[in-house]
Amino acid sequence: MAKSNRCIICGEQIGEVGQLCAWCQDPRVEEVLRGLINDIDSQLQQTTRIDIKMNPTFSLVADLGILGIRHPLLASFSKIIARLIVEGGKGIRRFKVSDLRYGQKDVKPFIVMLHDFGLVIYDEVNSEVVIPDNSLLLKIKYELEVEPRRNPAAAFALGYVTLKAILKTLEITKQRSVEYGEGVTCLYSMTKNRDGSVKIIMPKSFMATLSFVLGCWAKGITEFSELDIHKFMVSRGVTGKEFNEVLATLSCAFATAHGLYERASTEHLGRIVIYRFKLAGEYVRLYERIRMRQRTL
Amino acid sequence: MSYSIKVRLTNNRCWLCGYRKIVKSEIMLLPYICHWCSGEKVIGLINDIVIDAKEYLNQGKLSNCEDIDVLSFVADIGELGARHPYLKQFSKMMSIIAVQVALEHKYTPDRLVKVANGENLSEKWARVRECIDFLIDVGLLEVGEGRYIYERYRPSHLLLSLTASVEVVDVEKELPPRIAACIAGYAWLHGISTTINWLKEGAQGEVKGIAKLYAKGRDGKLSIPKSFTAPIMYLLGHLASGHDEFSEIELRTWLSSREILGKDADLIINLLARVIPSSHRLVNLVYDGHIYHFKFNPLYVRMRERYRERRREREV
Repeated sequence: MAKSNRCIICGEQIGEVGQLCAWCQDPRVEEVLRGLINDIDSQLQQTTRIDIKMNPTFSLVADLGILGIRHPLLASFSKIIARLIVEGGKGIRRFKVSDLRYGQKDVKPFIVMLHDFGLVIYDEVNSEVVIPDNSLLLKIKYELEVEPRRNPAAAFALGYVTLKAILKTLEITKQRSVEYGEGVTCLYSMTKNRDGSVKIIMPKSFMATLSFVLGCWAKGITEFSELDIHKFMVSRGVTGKEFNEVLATLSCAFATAHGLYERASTEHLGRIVIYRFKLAGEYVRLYERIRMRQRTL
Repeated sequence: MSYSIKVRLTNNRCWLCGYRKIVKSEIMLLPYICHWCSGEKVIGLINDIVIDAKEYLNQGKLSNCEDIDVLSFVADIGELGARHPYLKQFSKMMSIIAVQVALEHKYTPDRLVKVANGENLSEKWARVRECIDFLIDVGLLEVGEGRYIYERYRPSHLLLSLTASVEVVDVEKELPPRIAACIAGYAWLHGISTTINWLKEGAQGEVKGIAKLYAKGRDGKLSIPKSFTAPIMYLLGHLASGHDEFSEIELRTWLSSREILGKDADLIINLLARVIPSSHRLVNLVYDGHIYHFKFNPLYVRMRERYRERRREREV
């Protein structure tokens, strides 16, 4: 991968030492994330339904996925997932990669990522995508048929692959440096400049937000304010309008509503007014449960 | 008391936390106090704590102040007060009065003069008189009759009952620090509550509550002991609003609008983070890799919930 001076997960400038920042490298993040993914995988094997409304584990993943749905780059990936879910539900299981571009030049890394996590089978020879019978996408489709009303099950797929990709990235960085097309970099777009140099663009406003939310959750921080997230975002280059959008997303001001925070209130700190967010109680309990399980293992 | 305090209060300032108001409408709407310190929730919480603590102190449970959440909270407040360079003399005076009342059922102001700050004896006496006056305000002393100061301003029933419980503790000259902090903390909180009411009523007449202890300049200008009152009001206000956590940045931002910056703000944060050795348990610390996050002691969060529940029941 081209040399980068930024954390490959959240985008913080870190110089040329390693690929991860201190926030993402924190062992608590990996530990809790692994616990969460293991929990999801074991539940997916045991249950036939992906009940987002009742199951806090699935709900958390869907809520994290919702954070990215509005991002221009990730919106294309959401569309790909949506098409696979809808067409797969009709019985169409084979798709041409060229039909899944949705404005992106190269969706192959994302397709490969879906292949790695078992959501699809990528036939490189014929440049085709096949949905296997045991795919998570089909389960999501069945869930939407059972409970079509206000069901964010589709966001679950994006959240699930993103979290798995982050975990994979954390695992790879322990052994070697991550190359483009591995781990979370599959969600990034690569362009070539006129001089032939390669530029990788990451969806920072999503990845930095996700990293902050996930990091706070994994570190046991259940409340934070606009000032905290602002400091975090500024060091990752998310400022101005972009930061306002992040704040709007977190406070459910956009049409895509998530249930991450049970309270998003304003507070007067003397001369300024700030937003305060309080994590939903069910996610605090989920964190405690995962931590407890990790300790007993 | 026989002496009168002539002080000048400007209406563009909160005389508890030190917030300076810039907007004229803000000054006209609420002079002498800020929105944070005059909120219904924070006043309710302080009153609940004071009433509950008084009840426990009347029952002689001071020696168990570690096991009772409200007394432990009060002791934590008292401990922060004992750290303040100006207010610590009054903490010492309260401790001396409590010990002497416990042993002899009276107090001698001579001993108080020894711990008072001042360039000369008259200044030191003025501090002692301020302290006695303050203790009358918070109900630890009461006005009586007699020749001596300890008869004219005799220990109240509350002070006698709390010192009765001190007797069981091995007291010779000094109280155990936690018990001393608990008595002082009760006085601080009661004093804050009295001052809030006085400021809300327009700061008319003689100064009341904790403001009596503020240092006075020769021109009658009061100096707010901000490095004590501001963090206390922040903690109480934040707890009363139903929040369980806050970060270093939030606290710094809040303090900066109270003109507490740089080293002073560092000192407060270090004290809360117990980087400066302290035995308070107000907040627990989480370091996220960048900044400190403070979490209120779960005992105090439960205490707050108990009071909220009680208030809700009363309203119903």
